[in-house]
Amino acid sequence: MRVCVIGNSHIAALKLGWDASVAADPAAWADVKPTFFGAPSDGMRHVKLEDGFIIPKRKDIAEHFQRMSAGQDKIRLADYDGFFLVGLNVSVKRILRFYKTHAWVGLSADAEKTLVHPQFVQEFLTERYGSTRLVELATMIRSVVSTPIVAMAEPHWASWIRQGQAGTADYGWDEAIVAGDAVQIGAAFLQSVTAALAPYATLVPQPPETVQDGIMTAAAYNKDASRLISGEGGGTDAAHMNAAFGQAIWPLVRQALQVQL
Amino acid sequence: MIEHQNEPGVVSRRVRKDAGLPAVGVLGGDAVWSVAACLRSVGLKIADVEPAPKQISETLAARFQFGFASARCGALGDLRQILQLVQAATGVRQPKHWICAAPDGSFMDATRPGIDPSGFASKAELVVYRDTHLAAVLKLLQGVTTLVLPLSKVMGLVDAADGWVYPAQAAGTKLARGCKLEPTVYAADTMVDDFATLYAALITVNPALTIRLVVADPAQDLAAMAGQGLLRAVAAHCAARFSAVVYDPVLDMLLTRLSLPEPDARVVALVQKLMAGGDLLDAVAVAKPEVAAMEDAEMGIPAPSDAPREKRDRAQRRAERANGKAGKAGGEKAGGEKAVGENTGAKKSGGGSRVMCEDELLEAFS
Repeated sequence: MRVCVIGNSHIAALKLGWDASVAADPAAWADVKPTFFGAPSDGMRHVKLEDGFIIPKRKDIAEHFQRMSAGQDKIRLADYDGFFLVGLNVSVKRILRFYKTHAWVGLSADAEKTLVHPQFVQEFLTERYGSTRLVELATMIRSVVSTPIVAMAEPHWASWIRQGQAGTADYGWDEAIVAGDAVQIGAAFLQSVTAALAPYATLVPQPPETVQDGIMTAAAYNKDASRLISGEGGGTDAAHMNAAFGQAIWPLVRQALQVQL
Repeated sequence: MIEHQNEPGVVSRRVRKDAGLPAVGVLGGDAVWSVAACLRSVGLKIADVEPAPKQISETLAARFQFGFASARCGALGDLRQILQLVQAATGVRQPKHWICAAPDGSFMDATRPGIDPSGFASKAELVVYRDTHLAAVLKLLQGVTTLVLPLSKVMGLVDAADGWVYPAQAAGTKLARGCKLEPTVYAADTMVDDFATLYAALITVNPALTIRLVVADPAQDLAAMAGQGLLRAVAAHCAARFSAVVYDPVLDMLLTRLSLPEPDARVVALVQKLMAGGDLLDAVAVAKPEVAAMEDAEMGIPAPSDAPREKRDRAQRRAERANGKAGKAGGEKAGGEKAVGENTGAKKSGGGSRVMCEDELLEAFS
């Protein structure tokens, strides 16, 4: 199965996890052949669809493609049996920003927030996630191919960031967890992203064993991620995950793709 | 901080008076007729105590009735429903049969149908939802300095069980057992009485409040337009009787024109002026001599010197201002009712102060 993996920086954990999986049991993964394409941050916004190819509109993005795919500066969609989209600006942070001003019936009471109907939350968040690069790219690919497309969101941030850290934005993780709302927020996240992707792709949720408090990633899956991915030390990166996280993802991705083949 | 009174079993929510609200609030509005939207379109900031999230699309906001008024309270449009909302928000009175069932069996609020497309699985959830909405309305009443009340209806659907008036319900809605809604046309006296009760309730909650009545609805048939005539009479009567009430039929006309596609920029400017408490005459004072001069020229009459007329106008305006001050100082009856003969036009000082400055400037150079 030829799998085209497209994403932003979160693709790094998938690459580390892939290498670790193959090293641990080469025979188990012999039928899967991933090719990685990506660009940091929102770099994947700078591509276009042309004659069945996804083509970078910027030179630096093309260089990223070449480096990650071992030589290809564009993606020929017909070359793959399935697509795996990673991250691409879909994260629980959007709901947490909404949660700072709004709540829905079923969450804890807070007179400072506007209370809305759960159906509104579902429709609003589906609309919001529908405007992300993840969904846009799924739409773009689906307009050309009928092969399976699966997607995963950016991982929840590592649990140790919950209490805040100098220089890091407070997205309200701790407030949501302390209020007892985090698990419902995590569920609303999965529901709305699934709905936003539904016409084009299938969401692979973050593996349950990696999730903590509904909206965080257990610290073990973030350990050494900053050193492995960017070469930095000191554990300053709570957003990116390590090889163990990637290893937990791959069986779910393969299963989701095989179901649709 | 004040405690909002809840019904038994309802989660208690504390309401904080919000000093940060914009000065103007609008109670009532929907997709067909939203005075709040009209006023926003001329650049006015309108309070919104149940706002949509910032990133929402217009389509979705309209589907869930965000932004049509300062709270998601439905169209309202008649004094009885506005009074009921204020009474419910202040804990004075609650309807008996406000919980109804949607066709799918979920529970909905009959006092504001259509606010959300679907209901709640349990009555307890709906009670929390309504209680929070009423707390937001109370916050609005306490926090604004001007409350605009759009009026467009002279009839309502009355529940004989407790006299509560409900808006029309969606097809398939199952009303509560014992609730039978009968259409009732309000008599003028009834509307005035309702307003007197409403006025007392609002001034109790917010003694500094100014209430601005608006009678307009551009999407009306002939019968409804006849009703608007009655509403205008009631509004004018209430404005004459109560000190903190303003009604200007010119604003009605301007708001109607404002709702048309691509409204005239002059309409925008006039609405801004009136909502700021200005006097419409300020805008036409310059235009009048020009028209008169054109008419005179057409008839071959030589243009006279304007000096005597300007002098007479200034003297007249000074006399009117002096009368206005006297009326403010001693013209109010007990209970906020106005003395007979008091000027019921725009009472705020913004426009008048500017005119006074202009007069003094002209006199200084005369």
